Amino acid sequence: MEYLLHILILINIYIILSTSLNLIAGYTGLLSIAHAAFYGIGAYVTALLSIHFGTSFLLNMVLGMAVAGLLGVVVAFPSLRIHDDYFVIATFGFQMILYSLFNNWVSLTRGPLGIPGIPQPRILGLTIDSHGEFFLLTALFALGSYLLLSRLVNSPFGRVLKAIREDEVFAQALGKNVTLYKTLVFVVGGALAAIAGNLYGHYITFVDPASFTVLESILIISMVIIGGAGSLLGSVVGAAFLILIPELLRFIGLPSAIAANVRQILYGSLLVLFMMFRPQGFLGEFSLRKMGAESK
Amino acid sequence: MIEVRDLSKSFGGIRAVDKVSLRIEEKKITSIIGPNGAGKTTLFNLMTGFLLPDQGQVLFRGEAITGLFPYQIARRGIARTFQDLRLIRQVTVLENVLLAGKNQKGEKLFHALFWNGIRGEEKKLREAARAILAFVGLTEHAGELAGALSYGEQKLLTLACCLAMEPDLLLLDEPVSGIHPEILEKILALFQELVKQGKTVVFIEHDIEAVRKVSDTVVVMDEGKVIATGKPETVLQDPAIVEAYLD
Repeated sequence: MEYLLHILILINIYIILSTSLNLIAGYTGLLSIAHAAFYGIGAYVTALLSIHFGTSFLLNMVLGMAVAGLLGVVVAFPSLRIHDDYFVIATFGFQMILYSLFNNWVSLTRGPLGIPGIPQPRILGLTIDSHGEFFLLTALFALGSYLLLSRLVNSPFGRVLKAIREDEVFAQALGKNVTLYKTLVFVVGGALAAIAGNLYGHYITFVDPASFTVLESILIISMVIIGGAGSLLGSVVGAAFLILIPELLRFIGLPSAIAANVRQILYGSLLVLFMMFRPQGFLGEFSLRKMGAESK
Repeated sequence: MIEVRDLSKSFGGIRAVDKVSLRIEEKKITSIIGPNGAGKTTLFNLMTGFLLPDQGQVLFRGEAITGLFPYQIARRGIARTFQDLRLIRQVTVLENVLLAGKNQKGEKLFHALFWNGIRGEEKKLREAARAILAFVGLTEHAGELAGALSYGEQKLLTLACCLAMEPDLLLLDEPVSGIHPEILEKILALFQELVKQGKTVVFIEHDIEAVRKVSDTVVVMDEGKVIATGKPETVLQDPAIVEAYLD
């Protein structure tokens, strides 16, 4: 039972990550490899604040979101001047920078040793410590962020995002402040990813740089692409699918040392197969590949 | 209405627009003609902020708009179309017009998050969009994907999007080239109707008959310069112009 709940908790956390990246990459067309950086910011802010200042779960969350939101402004900045492949590479740069900070700023983050001992969250005098409670907590935030994003993408705001994805010049000619939209999308998407980082930190009670590498970013992108870019429900399916698939490997009886490697190979192969045979993913309305080709 | 003063733009040594000065009259139809590469589209791009001039000024209603972003210029009441049709082809005709709607609260993050007053606004927006589609004659295609329309209908749709912005000035880049004569007549009639409603229309066109039919003023450009301006009956009779243009 605990094992099952653990998997479900991870799925909840990844739903927040994949849906929020979908806002940026799927709806607005800004493919970003920096999502794990926002995730990491949420986790590190949580870890540092609760260890050093004993701050509460909710305060950690709000401050993590604020820092990630600020980072969102910075990451969005190059998108105002560069597009497509070049922008992807720029976000990769941000991912590298943030990872280096987590890994090398030893006096603050303890580097590769990570930060242990993050306390369990207390909400309204209630301590969340069992798997069941963590499941409910993460489900609540996954649902909340899903509903929030769903409102956004189905509103006139979302209509502008899709217009920017399809034809930025047209959107400008219609009087839309494309710069502002791109920035807002990174702020909102980044802040939501920080929520996921906060939940992860409080749940695992330990953060280290290895959890926020570029591979993590690629895993989240894979969830968006395999689930379907431009479909929130798709991102939920994508997150569940990519968390569950490697778990199935355990049941085949692979030793865990091998299973960890097989996992990466599996993710990679799935991504290649989807790109070749179903570029729009399970539920997507368009393919990122086609979009990239058209915008040139 | 709109005036350009001494406007120049070069691309790697080629003077695409060369010291152009021009004053467009309000509530009139002005056409810009000239051979390919004469600088017509570049002039539009300079007027709408998509390109920055090397020198010179653009004045709209007496105020300088040089250096403003395209979206700021659009919000001041200048709508434009593009030679290569720009539309969101994957969404419906109606949604394209809704997107163009002016001053939408629902496009602001806060309002979108809390659905604050969006429903009522959307309803009004839809009514307005349907009225515009009726005006340009696309009502029956409202629910179709924009990409499914014929070429001529897509040009009508770009015009509908412009109208949804409630502009005072429309800058249209080849609005009738390469389309069916029936739709062509319709678009020309719409221009005249728009002027009656108090709007100003400027269009770039190669179709001399269309230009002759509706223009109050014709501007002829060649090699980045304005070489003639005047009423169509005089400008289009000038043998020098006819020769330069038809070559």
